Amino acid sequence: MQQLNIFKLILIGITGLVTLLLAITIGSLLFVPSLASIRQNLGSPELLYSLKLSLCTASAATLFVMLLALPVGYTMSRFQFAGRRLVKTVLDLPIAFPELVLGLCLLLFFGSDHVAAALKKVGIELVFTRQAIVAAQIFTALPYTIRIIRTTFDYVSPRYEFISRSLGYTHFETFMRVALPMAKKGILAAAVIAFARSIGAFGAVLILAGGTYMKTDVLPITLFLNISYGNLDLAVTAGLVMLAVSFLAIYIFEKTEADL
Amino acid sequence: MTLLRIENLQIQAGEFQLCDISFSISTGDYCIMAGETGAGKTFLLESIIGVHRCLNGRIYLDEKDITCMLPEYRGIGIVYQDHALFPHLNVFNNIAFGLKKQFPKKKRQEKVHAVAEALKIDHILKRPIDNLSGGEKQRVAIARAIVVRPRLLLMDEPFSALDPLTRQKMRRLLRRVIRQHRMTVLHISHDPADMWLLANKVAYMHEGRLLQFDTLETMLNNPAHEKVSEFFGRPSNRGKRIRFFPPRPAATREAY
Amino acid sequence: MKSIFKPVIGVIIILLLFSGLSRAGDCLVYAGAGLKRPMTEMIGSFEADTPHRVDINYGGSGHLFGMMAMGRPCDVFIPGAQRYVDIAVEKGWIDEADVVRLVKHIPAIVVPQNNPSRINSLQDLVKPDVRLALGDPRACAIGNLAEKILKKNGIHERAKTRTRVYGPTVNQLLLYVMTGRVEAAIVWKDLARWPENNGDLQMVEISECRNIIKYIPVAVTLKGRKNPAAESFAAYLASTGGLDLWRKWGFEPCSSLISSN
Repeated sequence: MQQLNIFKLILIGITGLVTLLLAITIGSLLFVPSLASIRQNLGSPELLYSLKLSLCTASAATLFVMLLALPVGYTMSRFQFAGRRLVKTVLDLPIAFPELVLGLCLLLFFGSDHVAAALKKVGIELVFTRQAIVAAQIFTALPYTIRIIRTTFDYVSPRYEFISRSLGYTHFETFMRVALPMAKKGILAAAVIAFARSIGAFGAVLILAGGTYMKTDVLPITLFLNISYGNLDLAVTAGLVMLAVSFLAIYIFEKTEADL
Repeated sequence: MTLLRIENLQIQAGEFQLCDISFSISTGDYCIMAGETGAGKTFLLESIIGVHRCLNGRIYLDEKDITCMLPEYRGIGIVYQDHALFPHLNVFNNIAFGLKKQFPKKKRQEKVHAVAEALKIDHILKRPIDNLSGGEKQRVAIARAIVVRPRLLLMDEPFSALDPLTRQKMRRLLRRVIRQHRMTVLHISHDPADMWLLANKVAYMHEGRLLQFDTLETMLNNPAHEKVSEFFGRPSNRGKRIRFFPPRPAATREAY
Repeated sequence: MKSIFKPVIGVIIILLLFSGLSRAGDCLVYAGAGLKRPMTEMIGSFEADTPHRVDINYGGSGHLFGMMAMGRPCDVFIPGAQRYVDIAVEKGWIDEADVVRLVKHIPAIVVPQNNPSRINSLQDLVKPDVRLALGDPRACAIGNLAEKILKKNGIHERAKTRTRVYGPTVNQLLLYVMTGRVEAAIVWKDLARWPENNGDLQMVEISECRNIIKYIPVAVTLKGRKNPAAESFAAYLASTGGLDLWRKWGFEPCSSLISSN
């Protein structure tokens, strides 16, 4: 008979326990409201508003994040330069940053009179507006996205690009024709994570955009507001919608990751 | 006529560096470069195509200083051991990749078919690259590099991942194609058979230095460095070589 | 021998830690999160003056109320608003006679340092070009109260057009004033005391006739009645020394208490 590997059994046991714990915790969201009240709340103008706002702002944020993260991620993956370590630390810093602190920093920066005046000239207002939501989401999602894109490019051997350049393509053409298509899946995964992070961004959005009811309340803010209002059912429904988005995001991410 | 001339080249990559590399290759030469793993051979090839920044020294191509020229303007092709075919393109588009900027579609097709025929891969042009055999992949990689008629072709152990029989076939095929296209080649290999069959010059690198660059006969009989004699064999006191380097294969002698 | 030694020491350390954390007090107090600063000091001086030990839970008033509803023991209940005590009386957890209106909870206007928009009264809030931050009327008590005050003074509609943000939490409002994002906000006076002392913002009082003043109640629960420590603590809160501490943190004692002391 096979001898028992106790260590392995314990590890599997702990893994099972943690999974169960997470599943039960997340699942508890499902059992609070009745199905009827979920359906009713899903149709409420409040939730529809914040869902629409969330989708719009998160899409815009994802677009900007990708436009920024692609060049930065590529740079950090490919190039050696003076101060690279410092740049890397600065880029990673917001990951370990509480979102509220990030929000405070954004408020202090974008709210300062000079910056606000300069931005206003080009039609951008980044305090208490929907643009502020997008800005907060961008800053929340950017560091994660840069990391994923950097890792993606790390997995693409630079040799492909050397070959492309030896065949007469400029660095930019090579980036477009070789690096981008080869990193396609990782980039898609990064976009999904960027979108999910943007949807879930709370602290920074609350502080920079203010979290005004029916004006700047995206899904997490709706959840928070309704807890304060004592309207638990609507809060839970908002939570369920976000849960669905995260599930979808993780599903797509896992799928693309598996193909990588 | 000298095609490639390298003078006192010095390049740094992290801890590793190439020191004081000097040699020249004439038009029509076929050079094979050997050396232990980590000697800097691949790095040297990549420096010649221009993707690493030089600290010191100069590289001339056709007597023109290309030390600071971007890779895309040098016209030097490269083939890697792991073939590095673009996974998002099929065989045809891999080969046609370098032609896209210069030639119209019709001309591209002609050129690809010609080189594919020469390398006996014209039957797989429509296939995606991930279900090719090792030998086929390597031929596609070579086709991709030579279809643009590079002034100089660099190859980094193109056969080392192949089984001996395929390697033998590839070697002959390559020799024919190279001669047909009258190409100048710098080829990294440890295989004595490659040196005997393909090369008219041989080089040996060790720890970022080029120890010797000469004909194979000279390398065998007059090694300039202990490491060279270790690799190619050293005449002992009794006139016999210790560490036997195999003689030219008899079967191919007349063909050569 | 050695192998068993380490785990035993570990267990002892863990037990010690737990016993340290769960040091039992004589009296359990639930207090609104906004009262943290005065209450902490209050408990310090109470414990120094008396042999009693006090355990305190801070939280949102609704949250604390929920804990009581779930049957958690509580001797003294000090929520941020009268409403919660009223419900507790209704539910029969507290006798109405044990409820004391302790200190006033006064709304006030806060403006950035140097008061750039020259706001000196409630009416000034609706001057042109004033940006206002108010609490969300449904999410926080001060938001609700601010709305009532504005309505009472007939400037609610105009104030609405000046309002740039309805913050779900009162702390946000302070932040927006301190960083100069808005020219004014209505918050609790006691909350503004600390940043005012730091020179981060200025406070503008609302004249009493225009204002609506709330009270912070202290209630000894039915369970706490049997506990001398609870009674003693509740009394301490209303004593001269206690009221001085409240004043220090920007709460004004109810006049009825001052006269009785």
